Amino acid sequence: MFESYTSDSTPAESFLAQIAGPTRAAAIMGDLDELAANRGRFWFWIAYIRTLVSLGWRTLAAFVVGFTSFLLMMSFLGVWMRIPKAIDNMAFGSTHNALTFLSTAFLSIFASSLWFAAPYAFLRFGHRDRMVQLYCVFFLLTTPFLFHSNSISLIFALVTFALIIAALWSSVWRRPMIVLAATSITALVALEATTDLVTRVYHPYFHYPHEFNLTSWAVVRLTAAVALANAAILCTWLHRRLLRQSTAIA
Amino acid sequence: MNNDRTLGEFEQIVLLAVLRLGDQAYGVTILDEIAAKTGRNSAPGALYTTLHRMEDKGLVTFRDGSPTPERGGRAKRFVIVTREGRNALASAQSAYQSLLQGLDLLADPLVRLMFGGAYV
Repeated sequence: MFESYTSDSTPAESFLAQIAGPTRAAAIMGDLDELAANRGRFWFWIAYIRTLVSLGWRTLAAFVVGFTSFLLMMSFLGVWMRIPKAIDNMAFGSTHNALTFLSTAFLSIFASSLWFAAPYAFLRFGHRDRMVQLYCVFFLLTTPFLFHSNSISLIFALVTFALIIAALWSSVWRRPMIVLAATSITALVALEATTDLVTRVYHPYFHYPHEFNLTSWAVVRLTAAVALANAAILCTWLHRRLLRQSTAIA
Repeated sequence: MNNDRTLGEFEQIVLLAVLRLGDQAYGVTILDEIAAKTGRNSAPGALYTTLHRMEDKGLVTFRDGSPTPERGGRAKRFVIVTREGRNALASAQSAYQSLLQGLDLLADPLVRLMFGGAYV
C-alpha cells in the first residue's frame, strides 16, 4: 500500500504553484510523493524545500533587484529635485502648458513603474521574452528623458504613447503590452494605496520626516515592497496565462 | 553554432535519459535512469529546473498522463524531446566525438576500472 503525503502537502503544492504554475507543481508533487514512498516523510520535505529553492531563487532575486532599482531611482529623483532650478527645468515642473504638463506627467508616472518592473521582468523571464523587450524599449524612452527640458520630454512622452497604441494594435505585441500595462497600473495603484494607508495611520509628513526616523524608513519601504510584490505576482500570473505557449500536447 | 541551443552537461544527460526511456520519461523514471547509467543521484530540484529551462528553449515539451494513487492522485507529466532538442543534442554529441577522436580515452583500462562500465 502506498503512503501518500497528499493530505498535508496541499498548501505546499499551492505555494509551489505560485512559482512553477499549477500543472508543473502538481506533477512535481506527484513525483516527490512517488519517490518518498521508499524514502520517507523527512526526505519528502527536504526534497520539496530544495525544489522550491531551485525553482524560486530567480523570482526572489528578480524581486530584490527590481525593488532596489526602484528605491535607488526614487532616491536619485529626490536628490535631483533638490538641485536649484532642476524642478523648473523638468517637464512635470511645468504648469504653464497643459499639454506639456499632462504628457510629461504621464511620462514620469509610467517611468516610475518601470524602475521596478523592467529589472524584475528582465531577470525573471530573460531577454528573449517579448514583454521584456517592450519593457527595455519603454525604459529607454522614458527614464533618460525625464530629467531633460520640457520640449524633449514632451517629444518622448508622445513617442511612448504612440508606441503603446502601436503595440496594442499589433497582433504580435498586444498580449505583452497588456501584461506590461496591467503590471505598471497595479504597481502604481498599490503604491498609491499603501502610501495613503500609511499617511492615514501615521501622519501626512510620515514619508518625509525632517530627520532620519528608523520607523518611518522601515514602514515606508516595507509597504512599498508589499505593493510591488502584488504587481510582481500579477505580472507572473498574467505572463503564464497570456504569454506562455501551451505545453500539453494531445 | 547557435548559442541559444548550446547544451550544458546536465541538459545533455537529461535529454539522453529521456530518449532512452521513450514514452515513459517523467520525473521519477528520468532520475532513476540517470542514477542507473551514470551513478549520479541528482536532486529532483535540479532536474525540474533543467526541464523548465529546456522547455523555455523549445528543446522539450510535455504530455499529461493519468492520475495514479501512488502519486496522491496526481497525473504524471511525460517529457518529449522536440526536433530542436534532438538537433541540439546531436550537435553537442558530435562536438564531443570530434574532441575524443584519437585520444583512446574510453579504451584505457584504468578508465574502465574507475567507472565500472558506467560510461564505457
